[in-house]
Amino acid sequence: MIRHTLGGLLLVLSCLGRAVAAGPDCSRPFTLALHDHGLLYSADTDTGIDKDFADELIRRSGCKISVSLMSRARIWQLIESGALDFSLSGIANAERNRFASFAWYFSNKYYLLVRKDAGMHQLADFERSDQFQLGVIRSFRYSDSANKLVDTLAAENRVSQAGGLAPLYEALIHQRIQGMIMEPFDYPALDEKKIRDVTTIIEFNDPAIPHGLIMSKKALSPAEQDKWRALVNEMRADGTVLRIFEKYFKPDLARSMVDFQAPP
Amino acid sequence: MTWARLVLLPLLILSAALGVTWIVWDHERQASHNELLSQFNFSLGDVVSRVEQRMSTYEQMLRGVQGLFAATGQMDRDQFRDYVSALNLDANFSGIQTIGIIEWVPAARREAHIAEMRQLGFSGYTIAPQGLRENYAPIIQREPAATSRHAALGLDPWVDPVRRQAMEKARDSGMAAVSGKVRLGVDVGPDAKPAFIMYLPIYNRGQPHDSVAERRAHLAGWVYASFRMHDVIASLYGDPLPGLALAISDGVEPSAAALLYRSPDTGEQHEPPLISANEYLVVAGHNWTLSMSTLDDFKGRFGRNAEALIAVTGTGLSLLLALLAWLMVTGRGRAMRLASTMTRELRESEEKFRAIADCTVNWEVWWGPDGKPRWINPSVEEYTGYTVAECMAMTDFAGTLIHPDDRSRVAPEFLKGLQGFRGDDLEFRCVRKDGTLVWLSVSWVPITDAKGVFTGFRTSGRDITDRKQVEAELRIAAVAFDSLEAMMVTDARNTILRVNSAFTECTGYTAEEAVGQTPRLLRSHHHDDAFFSEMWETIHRMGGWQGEIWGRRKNGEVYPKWLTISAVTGEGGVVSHYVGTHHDITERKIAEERIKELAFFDALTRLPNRTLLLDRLTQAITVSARSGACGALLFIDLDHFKTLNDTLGHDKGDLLLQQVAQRLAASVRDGDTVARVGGDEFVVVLGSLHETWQEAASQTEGMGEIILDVLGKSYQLDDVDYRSTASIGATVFRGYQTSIDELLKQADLAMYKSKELGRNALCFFDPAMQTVVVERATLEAGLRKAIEGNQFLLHYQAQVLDGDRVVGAEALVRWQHPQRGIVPPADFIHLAEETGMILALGNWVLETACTQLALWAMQPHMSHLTIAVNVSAQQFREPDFVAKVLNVIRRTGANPNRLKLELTESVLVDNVQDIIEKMHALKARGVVFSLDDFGIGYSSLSYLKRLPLDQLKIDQSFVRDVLVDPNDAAIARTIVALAQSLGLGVIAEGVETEEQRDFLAGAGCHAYQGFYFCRPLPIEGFEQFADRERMKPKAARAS
Repeated sequence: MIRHTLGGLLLVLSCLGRAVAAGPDCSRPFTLALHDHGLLYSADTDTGIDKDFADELIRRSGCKISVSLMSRARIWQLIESGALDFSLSGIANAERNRFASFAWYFSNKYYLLVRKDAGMHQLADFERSDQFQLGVIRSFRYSDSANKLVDTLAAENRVSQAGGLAPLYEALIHQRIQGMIMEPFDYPALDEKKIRDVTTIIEFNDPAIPHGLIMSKKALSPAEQDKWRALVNEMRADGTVLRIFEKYFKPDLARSMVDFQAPP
Repeated sequence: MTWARLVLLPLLILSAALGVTWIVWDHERQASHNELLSQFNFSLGDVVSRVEQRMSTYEQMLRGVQGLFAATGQMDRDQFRDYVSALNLDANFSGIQTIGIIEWVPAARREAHIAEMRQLGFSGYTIAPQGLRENYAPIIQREPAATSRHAALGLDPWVDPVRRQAMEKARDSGMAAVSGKVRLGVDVGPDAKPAFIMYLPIYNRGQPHDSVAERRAHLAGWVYASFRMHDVIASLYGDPLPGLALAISDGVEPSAAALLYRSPDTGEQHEPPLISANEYLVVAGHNWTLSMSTLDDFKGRFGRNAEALIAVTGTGLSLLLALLAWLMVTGRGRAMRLASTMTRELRESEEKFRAIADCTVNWEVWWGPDGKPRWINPSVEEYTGYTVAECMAMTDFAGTLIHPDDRSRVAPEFLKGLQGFRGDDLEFRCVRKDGTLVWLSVSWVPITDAKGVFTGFRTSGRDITDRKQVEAELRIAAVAFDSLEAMMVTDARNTILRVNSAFTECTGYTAEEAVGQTPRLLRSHHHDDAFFSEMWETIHRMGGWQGEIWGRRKNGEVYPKWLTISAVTGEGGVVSHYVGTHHDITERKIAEERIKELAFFDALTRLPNRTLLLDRLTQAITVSARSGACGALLFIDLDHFKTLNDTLGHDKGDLLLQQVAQRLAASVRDGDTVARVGGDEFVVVLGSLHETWQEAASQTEGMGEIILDVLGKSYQLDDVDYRSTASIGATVFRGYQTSIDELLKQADLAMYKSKELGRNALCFFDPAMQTVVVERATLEAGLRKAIEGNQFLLHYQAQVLDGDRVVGAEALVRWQHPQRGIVPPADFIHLAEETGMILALGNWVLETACTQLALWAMQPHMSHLTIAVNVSAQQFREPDFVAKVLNVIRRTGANPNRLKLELTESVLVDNVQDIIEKMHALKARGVVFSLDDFGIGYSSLSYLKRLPLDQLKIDQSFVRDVLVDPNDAAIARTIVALAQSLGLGVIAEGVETEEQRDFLAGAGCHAYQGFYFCRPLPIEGFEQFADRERMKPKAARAS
């Protein structure tokens, strides 16, 4: 009797424990795609914040996750179709929320990088100018005002899209585009490619946008999503995320990016 | 709804609808634009996606080859060939030009490598290009197999920098790398399509390749695939992209050099691309720029063409809506207006009906079958003066109004109307309220109700009073036309339309002959064309003409007629007819002549009369004034014409006058005038005499002599020879110096002067005569005044008997002229007799004398005195002389015996019988008569015996010369003897000396009157004298 009870308790506990301690269901291999985006991930060096995060996630979850490199646009397409399970550092919007759920792990503001010789000093200038060509990465969304700017310019066909940052930098240097939207992890490239000399940065007056783990709703059930989210929260809580960021950023910047109030 | 709101609301709606339309259109435009944009973006994304996908596939394919090597550790040629063949069957891998393997041959291994290759069967294998380099990377296998020498194995892409860069990148990253734009070795032609090559590194099996250094160290070679971009795209898109032009360039800057692919031109693009975009592809770490732009037909394919439709529809609908709103808004107004219009029209129609029914000019009465009026229209008041109410109240409406005389005519018709017959044109009179009559023409028609039952009849009456009047007037006119005046009616073109019978009588033309002709028919040739044109001008101006005109009768006789032409104007003032009336004025003309004659000519002698004379004289004066020549006026008076008339009778007298007139007329010149102005007075006016007075006078004298001579010849008056003379008075005049009246007076005076001078003479006017005349006139006036003003007084000259006894006095009238003093009777008695004032004067004298007698009668010593009063012949001839004298005597109370009337012989000239009777009558009363101035007058002795005289007065002319002239003495004696023998008393007048008295006493005349005894004295003086004489002793008296 007691043994049954104990056994049951143990079972329950173990189940509970498992439930509590159990991470996401690893019964099948998952796919995670990275995209080449500055410090987040560089295909050339095969390093980046997202890579580290992915590694950590794999380690913690214990699941088999195959990491591949894709263009961001493709990533979103596959997330939507359910062919891809995970991606990283994605931001939410109404449309994405339909097919993806997120687990935030950092946030940052967006900035507008403009050539000095474009003569723009305020956000409003871009909308008014006929000559300003903005460069964005296909399928990227940003903060509200940045989105507004992009949408306004897109309606006027003044947005040049690209598959990645590299051609945008090239284009900016060659004055094919006059500006592009930046996040902090794009900065090193500026120095490297000597873009900083010819450009200024204008800040979007939006609050920082949380970025997070993208989970395909089609591929993962809400319960699994919660598990994975819990996993990410764990990583945040125990400072793993901060550690990762501090590898690439200065401590205060890293902290400012990592410490955020996660929206519901 | 005010106008503003009427307009404002639809306007508002219009603007709102237009606004909505604009919003929708704008939205549509934006949506369309967005649609295009999104379609474009989609296409762009699609292309990008496909390209990325395909490149990824190619990478996978190469990884397959890589895997092949990784699995076996060496490159098996056959395996490779089989792999590639399998690939070739897969459509996914179409587009690949060549797949090949490159071996990494460091310089050291070069020879060995070449030997190996030759051993494999490639006998001519070398590394091309020739030359020693540090490293070589020859192609050791390629599928499909090279067909030409250029594509032979052993080609070393390491020498090409573009390829080398990609190979290095692939080697260092361990991942696929795409080269830039290359030209494939097999492409030797000029139009080689752009190509690129994808390299995938192969590392030695079993050796690590985690870092760049390791990778470089353990590089075995590459697998590569070469692509022509054109083929790649072609394999992606079988057909060219609809509406889009695609271009892929190497790098980030599209340029001609970097162009990898361009979609085939689909013809001329007329417009700049709607949308164009560049997208940067990252393919295997290599940047491509994809440029896409819309072609002309992009919009057509994908665009939504709803904009224009929306705009048009929207605008149309807006307008419609606004119109609807306006209609609705104004609808009410319009409806109301319509309603009011309809109401108004209805009202108007009603009023019209009522106007017609009530106020028709005609007088309408609806009679019931009972013969009583049911409804009378208000016109009845105008027609009859009775109001409708009064009419309805009448007991017998018809009877009251219809004239009694016409009732008998109307009643049967009325009955017929009651029976349901209709009738027309019944004319009768109606008696109005005020009693006047109107003529009515009435028609009646039966009334039936809806079922056709007879319910009465309606009469409609028209006032035809005017018509009746017109008819009457026409009748009168017709009658008038047939008047006694000849009338002719022509039309406006002077064609004769009608003539009356008088016309025929006058002119001789019958109506048939005259109608159709023009008045020229009657034209005589007395008048020239100017006359007729003036006549017509007057007609046109004044509407008529009348005057004298000479016409011609049918028989050719020309006669004067008084013609009146009147123009008859019709409507519009246009002349429609002319009416001409004329009557024969031949008689009138003759009469006119006669009147003129009578007016201006003396009937008997045919000479101008006084009136014409004055006219002629005026003319002569005017001529004289103008020419400066003198003229003369001669007054010719036949001497003793009256005697002729009395003796031979008036008819002889007329004959004489006629002959005188003829002679006178024959004597004068043509320009002179002879006129008869009085019974036997003729006047001759001589004109155009000499300019000087003297000459003219002598000319006149000459003429006068001729006239006297001519008139002096004997006349043959029937069977009597007669000689006559004339007295001529002449006066010369020149111009306006003397007035006509003055001239006439002058001539007259001259004539009288000539008469005085002895007749049968010409006497010129002398201004002195004028004085006489003036004096005479003055005297005459004074005399009149004297009579009225009692300026006379009697002086008494004593008549003595035997020289010592005063037995009476002769009353001699004296005139106490205020200016001239005492005027002796010689100066005025003659004038008084001429003017007839002698009667009044004589009466006064008589009265005064009788009064004196009456006074003396009361004085005993005076009572025996007689007063002798001179009585003129005129006085005596007065019919009532006797009565007057007796009246005076009675009134004054004088003793008739004491009154002695002295008559002159001139009294006895005429009607002696009458004188005798009067004398007898007075004598009967005791009046005494004395014959004055006896011996020097007419008296015939036979008269002496017939007249009841009492006394003779010897004229003083005898007495004066009684002592000197024996004749006078003899006469005086004879007169005394005569008187004594006839038993008459005798008194001598004008005794101035004693001797005369003595002689006379010796002759037997004892009564005396004269200065010797007493002068004429006023009554006081006389009475004194009489007293004195009485007082004288007898003896003294005798001396």
